[in-house]
Amino acid sequence: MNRRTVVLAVAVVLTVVWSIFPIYWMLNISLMNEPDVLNRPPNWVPNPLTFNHYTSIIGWTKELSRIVSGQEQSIRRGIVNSFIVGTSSSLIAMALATLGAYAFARFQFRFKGGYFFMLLLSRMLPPVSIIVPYYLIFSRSHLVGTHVGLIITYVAALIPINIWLLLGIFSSLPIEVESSARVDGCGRLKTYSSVVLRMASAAIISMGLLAFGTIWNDFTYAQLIAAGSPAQTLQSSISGLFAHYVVFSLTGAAVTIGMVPSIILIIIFGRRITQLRGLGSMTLREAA
Amino acid sequence: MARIVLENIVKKYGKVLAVNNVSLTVPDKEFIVLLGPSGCGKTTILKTIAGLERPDSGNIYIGDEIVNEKPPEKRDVAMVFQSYALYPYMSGFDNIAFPLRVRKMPKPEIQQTVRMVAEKLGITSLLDRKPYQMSGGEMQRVAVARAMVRKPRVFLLDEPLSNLDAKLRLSARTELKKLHEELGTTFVYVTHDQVEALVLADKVALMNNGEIQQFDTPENLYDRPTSTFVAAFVGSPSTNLLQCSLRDKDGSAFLEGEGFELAISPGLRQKIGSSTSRRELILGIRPENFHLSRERPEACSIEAEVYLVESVGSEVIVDLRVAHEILKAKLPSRFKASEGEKLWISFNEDDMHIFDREREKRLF
Repeated sequence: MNRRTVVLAVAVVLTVVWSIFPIYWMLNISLMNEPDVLNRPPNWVPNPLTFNHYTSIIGWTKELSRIVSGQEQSIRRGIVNSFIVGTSSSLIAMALATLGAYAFARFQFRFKGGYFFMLLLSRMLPPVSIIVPYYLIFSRSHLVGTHVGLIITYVAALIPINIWLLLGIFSSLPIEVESSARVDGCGRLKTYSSVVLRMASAAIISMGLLAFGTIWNDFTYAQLIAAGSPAQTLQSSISGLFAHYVVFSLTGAAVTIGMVPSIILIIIFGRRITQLRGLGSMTLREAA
Repeated sequence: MARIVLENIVKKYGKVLAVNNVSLTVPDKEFIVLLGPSGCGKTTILKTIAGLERPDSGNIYIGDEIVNEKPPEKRDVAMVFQSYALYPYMSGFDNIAFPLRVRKMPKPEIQQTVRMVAEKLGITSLLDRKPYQMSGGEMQRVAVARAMVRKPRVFLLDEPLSNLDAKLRLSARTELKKLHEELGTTFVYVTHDQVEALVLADKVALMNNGEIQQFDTPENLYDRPTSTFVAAFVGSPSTNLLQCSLRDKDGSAFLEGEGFELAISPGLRQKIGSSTSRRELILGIRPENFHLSRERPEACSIEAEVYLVESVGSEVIVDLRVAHEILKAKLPSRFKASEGEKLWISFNEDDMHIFDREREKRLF
């Protein structure tokens, strides 16, 4: 090993430790009893080990008595809300985006270029510039603090980018297979549902999962539309924990649970995530 | 089983005229080939019959019924695509069964029908395989099986053999011909390969620039090309075309071109005279109709210089130079000639194809 390699190795190790340490620490404190969190010297491994915070969030064990009560319940509701909003938004968005992308890929219609430009235009606006009008519209429509409000926001944000990505995928599908299905006796819709969607299914499922991950991790819109309401998502619930009195170990447990979907996505997509993540995280910030 | 009638079909893609006023009648149970260079509109015609393209104007009949407004799924035609277009995620069995499933045929019946068709085409071993596990020839057979499984009224084939290697193409060609005889269904077949067309077809529609140049039996296409395009397209090497003018001199008639003067019989002179008043002509002679000799023959001869001799096994192709033109002659391989040698070309008047130079149409 020459010096160059050694320096490089040290740099890599430092970078990894630098990025992993907060996650490790979060996991560490989430498995401690709250009084042990501030021990000096710190406990590098939880001793004694406890799963109390997790079980109480899930609702298997009773809420621990503290100055501020109802935190576990808020986290639990946040998880449920994130699931409801994430699942329905990504399903609706993918259903609409696949139809839209297919139309752009296969049909000729008036103002096609114009429509497509407008879709992309929505991605070019800085999100900050529309947050205020967005909030006003939602508050007048009584959609603030509702699941529907969140779902509308996320669907609107996800459709343009997914149409754009799916357009590439649909255009690359062999058109002869679709023609073949038509001749074999399928109508337009049947060809679309049983042949086109089937051929693109891997991509569609990937994009749907990434959409779910994006929504799950979103904080900006979640906070804007549903913070403090019964519909607030996990990210808002977690931020709500940093109030007058922070329970570090419980917060650690909540954040750890919040990371689970991202970790599952990384396991599913493995290396491909490096290509797709950039697109996924761009989705909300640039689109809505 | 049905005849197909196309009436004044016009199809434009943007400003490009793909099919220009084509009318064609495909009799019931016949094997028709649409032949032509790429971009001549033959595939577009096939797609309009299938319903995959809508003509801008004109009518399409399948059987006695006008099908202009019918979507492809209701036309009861089957199509084999150039790329085979198998459903990539389905096994061979599911691919073949797909048209039956769409028609909601009961399961046991599907099983039985698919097995029967697979046995007929000798592809039972492919039923469990996915398309990516098949070779080109295997995919082609599965595609044919999928097309014939539901006994369509019309079979459309779009260059089904062009992705196969040369040896396989020959055997697949024979199988297709057999299949047509057994099924007794109307076949419309698109190809740019003239040999395929001449071998398979009852009648060939030779197309160019969106128009049908000649719709005829393979024999007539070869023996009596109606235009210089047909003459040049059919046959390999293609027909030699020489510009010439009709001359009368001292009571006898000549075809005169650059570097040659060809005496013609009074009979031929009269035929030309009675079919056109023009004197600017094109003379076409097939390479296989050339006779070459070292002595000057009696009549009907042109002097030429041997430019190149190419041997293709059973025969030789001799390139001959007459002024600035190169003519190709096809001769048995025992013919020997050396480059630079002077030879006399002669041919029977019956083998001469004479065209009007301006319209490029056959005179008689």
